[in-house]
Amino acid sequence: MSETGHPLLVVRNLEKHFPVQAGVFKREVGRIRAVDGISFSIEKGETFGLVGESGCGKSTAAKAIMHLIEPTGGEVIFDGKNISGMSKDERRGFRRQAQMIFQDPESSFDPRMTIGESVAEPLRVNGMTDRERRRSIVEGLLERVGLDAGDADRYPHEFSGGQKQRIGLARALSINPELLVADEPVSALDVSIQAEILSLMEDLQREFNLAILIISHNLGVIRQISDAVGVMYVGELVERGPTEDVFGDPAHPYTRALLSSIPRPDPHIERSGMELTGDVPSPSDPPPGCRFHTRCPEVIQPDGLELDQTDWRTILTLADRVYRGDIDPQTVRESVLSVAEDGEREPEDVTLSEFEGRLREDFDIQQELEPTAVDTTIHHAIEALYEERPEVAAERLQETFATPCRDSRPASTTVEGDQVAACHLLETSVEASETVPATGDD
Amino acid sequence: MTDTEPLLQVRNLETQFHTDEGIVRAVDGVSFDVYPGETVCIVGESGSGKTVTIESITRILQMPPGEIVGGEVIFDGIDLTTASEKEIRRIRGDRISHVFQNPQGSLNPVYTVGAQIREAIQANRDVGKKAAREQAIELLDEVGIPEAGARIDDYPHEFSGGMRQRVVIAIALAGEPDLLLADEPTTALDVTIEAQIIDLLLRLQEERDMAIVFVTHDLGVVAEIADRVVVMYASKVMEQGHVHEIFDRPAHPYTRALLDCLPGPDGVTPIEGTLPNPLDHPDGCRFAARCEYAIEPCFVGEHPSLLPADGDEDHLVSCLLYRDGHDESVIDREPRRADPFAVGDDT
Repeated sequence: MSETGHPLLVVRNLEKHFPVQAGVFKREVGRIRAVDGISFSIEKGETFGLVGESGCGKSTAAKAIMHLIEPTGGEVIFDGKNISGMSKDERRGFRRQAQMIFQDPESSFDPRMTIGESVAEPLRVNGMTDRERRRSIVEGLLERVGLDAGDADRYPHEFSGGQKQRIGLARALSINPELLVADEPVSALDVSIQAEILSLMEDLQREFNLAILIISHNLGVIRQISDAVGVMYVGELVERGPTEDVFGDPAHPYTRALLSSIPRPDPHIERSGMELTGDVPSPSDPPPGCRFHTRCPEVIQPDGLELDQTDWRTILTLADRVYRGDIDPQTVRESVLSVAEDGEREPEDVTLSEFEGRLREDFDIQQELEPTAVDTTIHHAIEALYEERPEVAAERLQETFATPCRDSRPASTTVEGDQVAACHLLETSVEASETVPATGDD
Repeated sequence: MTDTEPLLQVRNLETQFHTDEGIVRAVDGVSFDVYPGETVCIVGESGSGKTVTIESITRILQMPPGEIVGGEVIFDGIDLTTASEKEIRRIRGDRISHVFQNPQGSLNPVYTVGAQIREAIQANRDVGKKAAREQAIELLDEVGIPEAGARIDDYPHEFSGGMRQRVVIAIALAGEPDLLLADEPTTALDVTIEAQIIDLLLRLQEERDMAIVFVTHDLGVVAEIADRVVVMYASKVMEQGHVHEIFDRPAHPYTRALLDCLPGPDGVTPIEGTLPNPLDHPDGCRFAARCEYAIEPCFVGEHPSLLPADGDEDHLVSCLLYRDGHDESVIDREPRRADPFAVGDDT
């Protein structure tokens, strides 16, 4: 990033895989790729926001960065030093320099300790033995976060959620850290309280020249407080860059979809209607190629194909299920009979046309789709499924509907300046822009 | 809207909780109407009484410690606060259904979703098992569960969070209700899934001409689905009106302050101060202590009653400054346009 000095935190290809074990010998039978190669950096005094839906790996990423759990790959460099290579003493130093606050302020405090004792704990652990001095620092901090010095003698249950989060901030800041990692710090709070905590965090950042890594599923919160953002999807960073660029002109279809899903507080605006279908895939079995292709509304079509995006999406969803071997012909047959309330016939008696009708209806694929070649492929694929030959079905679909979005992993592409996204659409447009002279040069 | 009769009339509803520390007046004289086919959003922060209000309507509230101590809830000519247990059970699930925030808690893990929807159908209609199953498949299909015929025999844990909420909605629709009471039904969901569920509710409402009372703290959701809005604060209604009035020209200082709390490009404007103690509500207006326009009379007597704002009978506000002899023009009614996501692709 900046030419002078080094960023405070550099995260490079960070990976955290959890093994899935089975049997008495705990043989590894699979891995959950919770964080699967993410990279970004944070400068001193800067706020970086990591945003994504639940299960995308953002909280795991925070824990792996802090080395609360050991990463399984990649490196985290803090102030020029690789954390994995740090000695015990250096690690302790890092723990002092990097503090964390969590979503649930309830469980962050020992209910039997006064607030003053809790806030002073990091000071005590780090060798400040003078009680009086600890006390005066704590009182100063409590006032700084908007509470009273006298609150030091009260217990956690006497405070509201927002107040506890303030106390959490006071505790994190008690030993002057360089980096604050905040995992969903305001998600459990009401909007008006969220606003208070966010503006407090902004003030404290200026005052202490803190670098902040904030993790949230709430795009409004991230937008509000971050200088730069990273958007995560199934363990990967699909886009990152300066907040204004990513939010103002999102480059990745997932970022666009995420932004357009947000209910906007203005009754005059209709949501743009780019609704994502389906659910987030599991990190234990992420889709091949671009992980977003199973839900993406902008998947690249094979050369020569120009289907309506909605039709194309429905075909891809069927194809995806066939590739994964997820469609059980027997279940389809049974479902034909159960919908038809037909108790007389056996599943074997279901005809091809009934079978095809059921599948087309389930996947919202039109009958007699244009062009005919497309429809014929679908028909043949369904026929192969009907004949219990799923590999043939998959082959047929793959022949006609192959897309780079499934076949290869998109590389990170610079969109403009520091904005980077991993999407095949950008790769092609970069190629295209190379042939067109005189585009933005900086 | 004004020519038809309201489907539901809530009049001066008062609900209390008896706790060790004293009586919590969770709902303290709340009134609003719901007309057939419309969506009314009750918006407020936690502890404002919005959930207790809708739980009082069909009396699904835990009683004790809760108790409805005053007011009326008129649905189709019957006062639900005094109706017999038998009467209210007939209405619940049949004419009025509920959808809650947490779909897990609404489904029984040991029965298939098909069995649970069938049960809801058969509780309200005299139909056989076979016909009920057929209807259950139709309902699952209607709420957007792919391959409904194949998934009807699955158990709740085999569905994702968003799909489970769809199942819960299917169950709520089983009795073909006239009124759906939805308490934060999208709060536990991710934003892309939330958008799907909101679209689903709006589509179902249109197809079935069903009224919805939607409780939420999310003003974005309110803007998207509400026809009318009821703003609650500290157990009282502060303002109610058409969604456009509420967002464009909020009358109550609290409503404006709430709108300004949303993160915007120029930052957030928090509301100074804290919520009043529900065990001991202050005299006068509940919001006075945090209100920048508060004058001395705001701190005495009862909380101001609802009055038309701008002479509009459909836009009501409980603020002293709108009374005769006061000047409401001191109130800045232009909310900061908090729309951080004007990406420029629409509007």
